[in-house]
Amino acid sequence: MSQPAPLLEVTDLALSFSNGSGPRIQAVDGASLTVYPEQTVAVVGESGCGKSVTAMSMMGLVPMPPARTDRGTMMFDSSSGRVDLLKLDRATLRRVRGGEIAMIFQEPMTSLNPVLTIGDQILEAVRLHRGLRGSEAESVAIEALTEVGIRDPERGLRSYPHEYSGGMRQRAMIAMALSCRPKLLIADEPTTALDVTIQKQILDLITDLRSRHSMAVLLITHDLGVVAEQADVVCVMYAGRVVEYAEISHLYRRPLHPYTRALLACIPSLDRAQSTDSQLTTVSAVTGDESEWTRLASESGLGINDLRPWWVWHDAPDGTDVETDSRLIEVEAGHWVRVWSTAGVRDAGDRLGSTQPSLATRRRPAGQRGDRHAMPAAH
Amino acid sequence: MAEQTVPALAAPRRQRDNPLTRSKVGLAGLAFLICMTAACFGSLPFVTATVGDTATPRYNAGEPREGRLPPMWAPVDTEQALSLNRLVADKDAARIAAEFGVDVESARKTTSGEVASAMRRHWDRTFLGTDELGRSLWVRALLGGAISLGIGIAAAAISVGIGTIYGVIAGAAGGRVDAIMMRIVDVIYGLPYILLVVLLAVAVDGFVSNNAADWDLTQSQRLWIDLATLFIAIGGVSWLTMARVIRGQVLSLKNQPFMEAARAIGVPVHRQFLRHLLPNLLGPIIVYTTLTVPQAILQESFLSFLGIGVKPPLPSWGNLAADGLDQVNRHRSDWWLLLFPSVLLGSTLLALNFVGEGLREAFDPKRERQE
Repeated sequence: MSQPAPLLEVTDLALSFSNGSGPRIQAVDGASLTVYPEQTVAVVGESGCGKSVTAMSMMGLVPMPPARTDRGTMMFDSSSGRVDLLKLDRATLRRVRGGEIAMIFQEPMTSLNPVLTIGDQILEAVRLHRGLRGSEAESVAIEALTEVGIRDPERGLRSYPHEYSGGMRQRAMIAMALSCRPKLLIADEPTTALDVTIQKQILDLITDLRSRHSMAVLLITHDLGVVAEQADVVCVMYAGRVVEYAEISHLYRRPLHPYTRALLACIPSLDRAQSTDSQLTTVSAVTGDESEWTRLASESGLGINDLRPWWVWHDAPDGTDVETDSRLIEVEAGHWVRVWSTAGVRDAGDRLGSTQPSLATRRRPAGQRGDRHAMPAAH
Repeated sequence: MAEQTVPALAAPRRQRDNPLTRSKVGLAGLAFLICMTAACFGSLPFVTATVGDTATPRYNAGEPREGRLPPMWAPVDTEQALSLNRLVADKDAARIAAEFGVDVESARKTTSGEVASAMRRHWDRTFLGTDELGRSLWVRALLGGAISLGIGIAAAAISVGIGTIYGVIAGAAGGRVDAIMMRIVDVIYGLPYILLVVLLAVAVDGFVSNNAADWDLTQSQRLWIDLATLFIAIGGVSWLTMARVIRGQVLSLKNQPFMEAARAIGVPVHRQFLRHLLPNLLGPIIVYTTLTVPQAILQESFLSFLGIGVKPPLPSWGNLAADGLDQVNRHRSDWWLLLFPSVLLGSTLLALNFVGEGLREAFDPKRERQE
C-alpha cells in the first residue's frame, strides 16, 4: 500500500508553563503523532496528560507566555504548502485557524456565545474563511445546519443558544466548524458533557461527516468506548508523553504499555464485577506483561533488561532518568511504545525502528465496522 | 442515505417568559419615568418662551406683587383669598359671578368653594403656587426637571462611557497594565468625590469666567458651558464603580469557552472584543446606567443645593428645594416651595432605582423562577 502524504505530523513536541515564581511545569514532553487525510486518530489519556494542550497548540490557542514551546515541530499540509504550526505568521495562522483546522469543544453549553444567534456565529466563520457574503453565506450556513441534522435550519439561524439543548448546541458547533470545510477537525472531548444516547448520535454524525467531507479527525477523549467505535489509530498519552501508538484493533488485542493495559483493565465489565467482590481495577495495580517484553527484547536482539516500557510507576533501570531518558520506538511492525532509553536501546539506534509514529490505516467503510462488544478485556 | 444516520431534531421553541416585564414595580417606575421625562422635556418650548414686554423667558417671569401665592387648589384664608381674587381681571370675575349667580363683590370675597377655585383656576400660574418673586413654581419645576434629568443622563452617559472603555481595556490587557489601571481607580476612590466635583466645577468655571471676554460668549453659550461643566464634573468622578464592574466581567468573560471558540474559528482580536465580548456586557452596562442616573441627579441636586451647581435664575430640582427650604421657617410656611421640588426629585429617584433593580433582576442569571 502506498503511503499518502501525512496531513499533520507532530514530532517530539514539548511545551511547558510557568506559573510566575515556581518551577516550570512540563505539560507536554515528547508528543509525537501523525494524522493522515480522512483518518480518525484518537488521543486517549487521563486528565492532565497533555492531550488537550497538544490539541490547543495546533490551533495556536495556548497563551504564550505563560506557555513556551521547548522543542518539537508540528508540520501541517496547508493549502500553501507544508507549514510548521508552531511557527506561523499572523496571517497564515488566521487562515489556518478555523479555515483549515477547526475545533469543537467539550462544553457545548458554554462554547456558543449566548448573546449572538447561531446564525451570527456560523456566518461569521463563513465570512472569515470563505469570503462569502449575504445570501450566499446564508445558504452555506443553512446547508451546514441541515447537514448536522437540525430541522428547520432557517429558523435555527435566528435562534439563540439558550433555545437549544446540549446535543443541538454541539451540532451547531459542528456545523460552525464544518462550514469552513476544514481539512482537520479537532474534537476535544466532544461528548463528555452529553448523555449516552446523544453521545452516540454526535459521534456517528462526526464519522458520517468525516467521510462525506473527506477530512481528518483528531479525537481527544478519555472514553475507550468512544475510541473503539470511532478511531482508526489510537495514541495513548501519559504524563505529557505519547506512550503507545497503534492501529485500533491491534491496540485492543495486544496492548504493550502497562498504562494502556491498565486503562483497558479499568473498563468495568459485568462478569468480572461478580467474580472479584465488585472491586474495580485501578491504574496503578497493573504491571507490564513480562513474557511479552522478553519476547520483544529477544526479537530485536537486546537483553531482557534493555528493552523495558517506560512509565513512572516502574523504577528506572540503571543509568537512566525518569524525566529525560525515554524514547518512542516501533517495537514491532505498526506498534510504537515508549521505552526506557537504556544503554542497549541507545546503542541499537535506528536498527530498532522509526521513532515517528505513523500509520495510514483507515477504517473499513461503514457497515463492516468493528463491533464494540468485541472489545477484549485485558486481565 | 447519510441523512438517515442521525435523526433530525425539532426546531427550538421561543421562550415565552420575558424577564424584563416580570417586575411590576420596575414597570410602574418605568411608566412614571416616561411620563416625567415627556412632561419635563415636552414643555421646554413653553417654559422657555419669552413673555411680556421685557422678553424674559417664562420660567423667570413674575411680579413680586404676585409672590408667595399658594397652589390654586389648596385651602386659603380670607386675606389670601382677597389678594388672589384681586388678580382676576374684572370681566372674568363678572363672568364667574354670573355663572354662580352671585354679584362680583361677594364672589371676590369668597375664600372657598367652587366660586373661589373657579376664579383662581383662571390664573394658571398658581397651579403649584408662586415663589417670592411671583414666578410660577409649576413652570420652574418643569424646567428644573428637564435640567436635572438632562444633567443626570448626560453625566451617567459620560461615566458609563469612561467606565466601560477603562474597564474593558484593563480587563482585556490583564497582568501589569490591569494592576496599574485598577490601582489608579483605587486611589481616586480614596479621594472624597464631592471635593473633586467642586474642584473641577470651580476650576472650569474660573477658567471660563476669566476668558469670557476674549471668547465673546453669548449669554446662552455661557449657560451651556456651565451646564456642561457640571455634568462633565459629575460624570468624571462617578465612572469608578462602572470601571470595576466592567473589568471584572471582562476578566471572567474572556476565559469563557465561547471566547476560546471564537479564537478557534479565527476571529481577529478586535472583533473578539467588539462583537463577542461587548454584547455580553450589555446587561451590566444597562443596569449600572439606570443606577448611575439617579446618583448623578442626586449629586447635581446636592451641588445646586450647596450653590455650586446650576446657577440661578436657571432652576433645578436641587436649587428649587434649597430656595424652598428658606421659605419654611418660624415666620411663614410657604410649604409648596419646599414640598413640590422635593417630591418630584424623590419620586423620580425612586422610580429610577426601581427600574434599575428590575433590570438587575432580569439580567441576573441566578434569579429564581418562582412562577
